[in-house]
Amino acid sequence: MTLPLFKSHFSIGKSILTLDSPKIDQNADSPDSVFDIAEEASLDKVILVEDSFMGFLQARKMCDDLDKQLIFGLRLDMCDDLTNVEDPKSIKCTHKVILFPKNSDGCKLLNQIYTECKTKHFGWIDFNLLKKFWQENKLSLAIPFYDSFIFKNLTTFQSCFAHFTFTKPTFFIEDNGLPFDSMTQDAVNKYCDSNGFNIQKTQSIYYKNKNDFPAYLTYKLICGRNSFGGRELSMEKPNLDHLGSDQFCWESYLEKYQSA
Amino acid sequence: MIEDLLRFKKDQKYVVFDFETCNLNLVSEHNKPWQLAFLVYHGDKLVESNDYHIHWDDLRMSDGARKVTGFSDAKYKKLARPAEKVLDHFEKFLYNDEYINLGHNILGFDIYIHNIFRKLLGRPTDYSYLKKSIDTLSIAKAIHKDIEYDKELDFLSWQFKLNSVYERGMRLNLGACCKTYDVEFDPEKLHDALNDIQKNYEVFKKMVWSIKI
Repeated sequence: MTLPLFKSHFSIGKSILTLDSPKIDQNADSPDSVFDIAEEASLDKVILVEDSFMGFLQARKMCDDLDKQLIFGLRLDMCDDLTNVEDPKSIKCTHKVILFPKNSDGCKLLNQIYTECKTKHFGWIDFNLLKKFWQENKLSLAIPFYDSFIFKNLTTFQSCFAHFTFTKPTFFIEDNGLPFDSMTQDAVNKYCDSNGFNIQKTQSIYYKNKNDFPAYLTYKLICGRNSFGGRELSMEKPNLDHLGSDQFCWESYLEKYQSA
Repeated sequence: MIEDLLRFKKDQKYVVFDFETCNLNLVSEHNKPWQLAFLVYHGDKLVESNDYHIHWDDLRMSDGARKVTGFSDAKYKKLARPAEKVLDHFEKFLYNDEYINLGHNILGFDIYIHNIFRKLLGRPTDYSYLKKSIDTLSIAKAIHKDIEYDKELDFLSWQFKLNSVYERGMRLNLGACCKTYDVEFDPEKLHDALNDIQKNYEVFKKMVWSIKI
């Protein structure tokens, strides 16, 4: 089964979905919520992968109200080595990992890790720090499809190394019709085969329907402060990473996986 | 093996292509490709020269694109051909393993436009041709930055890495490449698709002597 991974506007610049209560009138002209989709599709679990803890309480409350299970994952910025980093600009070999708490103690531990990263390490984590905090009975580790160390090694001149001596991560695989998807899928499959790691098919969801793409793009442009690599951007020349596909939405998820 | 280098493959077949579009959006189906030019080479021999205007009922050109590409409504109406026929003809070469697909900044632009073209005609996304494609902008960056290609690595991945390299002041557009490789170039004709790809092929034939690919 392909898991839908929702992200909300609490991950600034990444999604236009809110965590508000479901709309009474589905046709109302207001932002779509993750819970509009969850209710409409009768999902009993909502998997939320956020870039900050800010939406956690609201998501938790909404899931309690709607009698849904919340699976919350926090996506963290990882680098090779945090020792002696005085300037965050000097950080090299950057990639992402996702931490999922397994229980309420795991949530507390995740909050502790998040606080440590944000207050002492410019928001970054490295494998040594993660290993120091790691408790297998409280957390599980997932590697996102885009921006993972594998993806970065394939598409940039970074040489990132991963050290999974403390746990067995699950690797996510996506297919959003991007030109580098196939190449990345092959690399993830090969890496997991040779290391005995599990793979889970997923689909990141940042907006509801394909025709919401212009709204999503507008939001990205605003959050990106209208520049990319120093170049001026507009709706007609967005030139943003990962914006060569309009499939990061619920409608696309249904098209691809509902009938399967 | 030095014989494997493209510079020595005198009979290699190439299709060199370039799209002209309504704007620079990489996803929107409003950004229709209205012109596709492609040249077919067998070695140095030009076998086919195609310059298609593509018919769409609802073409919405931005003012910027009109200005840059010299788009003319009258010329477009006169020359536009059925989109299906244009794409079929082009894809006969694009998906043919005998051909290497070539273009300038195709990984950052034209491949997405080709995908829009397919979607507009109800065809599924298919990037399988990329494994035998060369983006001369990526190659120009490699030469400029003195980055060699390691044959152990995936060639497409290497090109994507180069595609991700941005540096202020690094001018490697087709005009700049023509200047570097001493290829005669008329700036007035920039974005005239057929002219662009002719120059692109000339640049490429010189580039292969500066890098081992």
